[in-house]
Amino acid sequence: MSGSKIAVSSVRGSVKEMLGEANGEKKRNFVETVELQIGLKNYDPQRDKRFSGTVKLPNIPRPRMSICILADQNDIDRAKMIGLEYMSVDDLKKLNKNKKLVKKLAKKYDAFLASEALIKQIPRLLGPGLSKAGKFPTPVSHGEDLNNKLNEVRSTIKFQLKKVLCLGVAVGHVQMTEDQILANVMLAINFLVSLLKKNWQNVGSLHIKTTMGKPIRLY
Amino acid sequence: MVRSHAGRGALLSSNLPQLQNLIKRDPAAYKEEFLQRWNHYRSVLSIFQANPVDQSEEFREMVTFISQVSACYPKETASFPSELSSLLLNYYAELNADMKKGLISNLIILRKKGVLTPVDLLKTIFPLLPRTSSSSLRSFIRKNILLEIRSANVQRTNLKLNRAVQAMLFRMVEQGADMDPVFDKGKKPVRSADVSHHSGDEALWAVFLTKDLWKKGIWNDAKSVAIISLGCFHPITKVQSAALHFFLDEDDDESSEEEDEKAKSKKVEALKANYVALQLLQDPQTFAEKLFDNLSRFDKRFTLDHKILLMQVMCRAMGTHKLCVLPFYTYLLKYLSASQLRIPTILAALATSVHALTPPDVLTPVLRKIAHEFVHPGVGSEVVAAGLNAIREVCTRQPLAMEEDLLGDLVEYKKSKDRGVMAAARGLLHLYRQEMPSMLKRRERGKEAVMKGASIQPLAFGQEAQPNKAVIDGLDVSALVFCKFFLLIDYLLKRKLLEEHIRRMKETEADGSDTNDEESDDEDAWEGWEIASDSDSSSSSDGWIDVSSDSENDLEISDSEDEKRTQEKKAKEEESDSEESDSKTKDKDDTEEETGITGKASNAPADPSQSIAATKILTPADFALLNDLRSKAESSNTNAKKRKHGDSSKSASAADGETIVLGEADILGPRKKAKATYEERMASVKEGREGREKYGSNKGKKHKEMPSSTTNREKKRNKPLMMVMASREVRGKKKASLMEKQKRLRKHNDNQKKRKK
Repeated sequence: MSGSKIAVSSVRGSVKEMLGEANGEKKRNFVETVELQIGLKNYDPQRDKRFSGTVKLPNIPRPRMSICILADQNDIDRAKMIGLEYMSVDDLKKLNKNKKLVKKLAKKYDAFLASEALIKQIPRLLGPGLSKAGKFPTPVSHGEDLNNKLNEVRSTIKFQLKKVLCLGVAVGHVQMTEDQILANVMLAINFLVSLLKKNWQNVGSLHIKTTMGKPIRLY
Repeated sequence: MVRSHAGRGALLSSNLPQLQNLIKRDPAAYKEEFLQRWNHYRSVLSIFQANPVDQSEEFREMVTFISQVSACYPKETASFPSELSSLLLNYYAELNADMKKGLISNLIILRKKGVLTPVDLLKTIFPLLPRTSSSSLRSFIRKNILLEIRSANVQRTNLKLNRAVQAMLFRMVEQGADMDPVFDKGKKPVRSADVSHHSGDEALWAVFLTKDLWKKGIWNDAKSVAIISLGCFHPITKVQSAALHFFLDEDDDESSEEEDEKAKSKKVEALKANYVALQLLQDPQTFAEKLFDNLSRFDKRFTLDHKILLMQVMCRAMGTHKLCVLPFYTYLLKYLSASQLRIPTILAALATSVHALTPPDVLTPVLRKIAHEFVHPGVGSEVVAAGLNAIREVCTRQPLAMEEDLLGDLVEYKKSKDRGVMAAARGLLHLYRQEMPSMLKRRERGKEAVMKGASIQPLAFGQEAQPNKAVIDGLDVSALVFCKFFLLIDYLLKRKLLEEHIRRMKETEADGSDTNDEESDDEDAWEGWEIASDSDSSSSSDGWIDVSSDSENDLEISDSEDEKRTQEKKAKEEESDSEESDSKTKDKDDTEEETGITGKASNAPADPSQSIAATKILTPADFALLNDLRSKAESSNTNAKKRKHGDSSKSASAADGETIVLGEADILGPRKKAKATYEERMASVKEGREGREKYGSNKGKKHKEMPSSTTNREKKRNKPLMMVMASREVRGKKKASLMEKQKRLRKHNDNQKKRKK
């Protein structure tokens, strides 16, 4: 009972400690990502349902995420304006449903957007490759602002349980302020716990760590 | 010692069991005798190999003897096990039944004594399975194989053995994979040789064995699933269907025969097992595609049952892994007609295969066809109900597949006289009221949808279910019902306390009325509730939480508040004391922090639920509260509570992507009690007859000591009066003339006089 508590102030302390280390003596030559690692318990991924869920964090955790838009003509023009990488229908057709090419495409980008008119054809054009990689495009309509949409996609994180009982998500990077990271971590934890069937009873451990740093136990 | 030595040769040569006993006691002393026997065995063996028809009792006894003692002379008998197995493998057809069984059990003895490795044993006896014609021997072998693998895995999984056996089984299934297909139906292709048939049998046994081991829970890894999934493409239909059944998990004959003690509990277990197996598939997309290939390529050759089996497995795989096998839907079109045999199963399979990422444009023709074939006035009401249910199930998974005009037509059936049809149409209507009210005509949309207005936005294809809105579902709800929030908390608080602390009722009412009261810290028994409500309600008032230093305290107490409150009271009092002092020191710091976030968060235009979730860690108590709230909000939002409840839970679980196995029953819908078949009726008649006397009159048999039929006299006496009155005799009397009457009277008088004399 005694070890099973998690308080805002202690999380804040951990974040502070982590940031101090990452920005202080062990500063790396790149922007380290802050990751939340979760260990589950009382959960059998083979028998229980594997949950998955997405949540939008208040602050963008991965600003440098590479995104590609699968666009119709209108969206191509808009993408050109903001310098977003795009692929047209013809480009997609060129892939010819070739599994290797689709896989390559899925690997190349972290996320995809797709014009609303196009998205229904995606399974036809590309086959199962994108959804297999968990990167099925997010629809964007002509009315939406692309920049906003990009930020939304960048700040959305996905929890997906695979065959093992642990998962990790990026919740920030070391150049964010303490408060920003804290808010992201809290929201991520709360959302995750709400996804679980028995809420806190399913949580085994929570750690935060930077890419190169030590993991720090929160729970 | 010397004395016994003189006689022992003569004695022991005839008595093998005794020699065996002696050898076991002292191997070294009896080595000579053993070697004598061993040489004898060698010579008999060579004779046997030359002429296998001659199988004497003596040879069998000798083999048994050697296998019993071989552990004592490992050096001398090193070749013995391999001799036995080669004997079995090479001369299996020639051996007689006793010999076979004897040899196999000797091998098992050798295994038990550790002379033979488990892998070697399995390698020998497994190939015998398909070659054995006697069922008792076969089940003996099967049982022993299972036993062997189970005992190897008893303490912990024996990876080495499992891997070896799985590789062997995999090879067996793989072997036949390039053969010509063999079908159950139509003309059989001429078998090129017996070999192909043989390998088919081996594959079948491999699949059976894997299924057995899976069912027993000995194997539950991806490898065994891989064996079976390979079996799904085996050219021999029998193997295929055995493998497919594994994924569907219909309990087979053997298992129910073997252990019918806990059939019920096994069934429940089984439903999950099937799901696990599907989850463990190596490459589900290819699996499904290959299944479809098989299905469409041999469409004419497979029996309908087999095709349905293929469809079911493929559809479950598609549903579980969210796969798209688009040509399947065009292929399926031709099966969608009301007169198709087993159509409910086909419809159920179709619905199972649909998920949120199935492109709506391939489903639309399917829906049209279903509507066209099933839902029109020319067919029976149960057909219409089945059609509507199927459409509803498909649309639950992919609402975008529906077209507006079609939906309008289908919804009209909600006024049908038939209950099943009505329920199905209403289900469809309800689904679209929730998901996409804009598809419905204005008057069909219902109160709820109209009130919410444009707030219900249908999800675009590929969009994940409300990534922003449902940050935390409960909080979302709570944001919607903020006005009710206060009252609810109040109510909850009161109820809890009433239940658990009746004696504190008065205090409750005093405190319950103003939940904002923060002085009730000492009442730690319900402080958890207090503070949870406190923080949330304050957030409702000014859009932001003022948690201040309470956050720690809150957490501690609400963590442990559940049941053991009273027991832990003392401990907690200490705890909270220490914390209070602790929090005081931190107080300043904390408030600063919080306000820092407050400022930032209030700058952002985020909705209140998100800001709560970003700054406060929800405790178990909060989750309980939220769940309660959510269910309350749900039930208060609707006026038709009972129907809503069932529907919403169903649709919610479907939206979660949980693999609900759809069955025929879901497609057929609730029906009137089905008419019993002739056999069922006769059975119930027979049942009613049991233990009752035969119908029919038992007049005169009941009260007599000797049962007999009635006499004529009794019959006459008991004859109904009306019948007597109408009889000729009586009527004759009435109609008689005066003269006749006088005559009769005179005669009567004369007779009377004669009597007196």
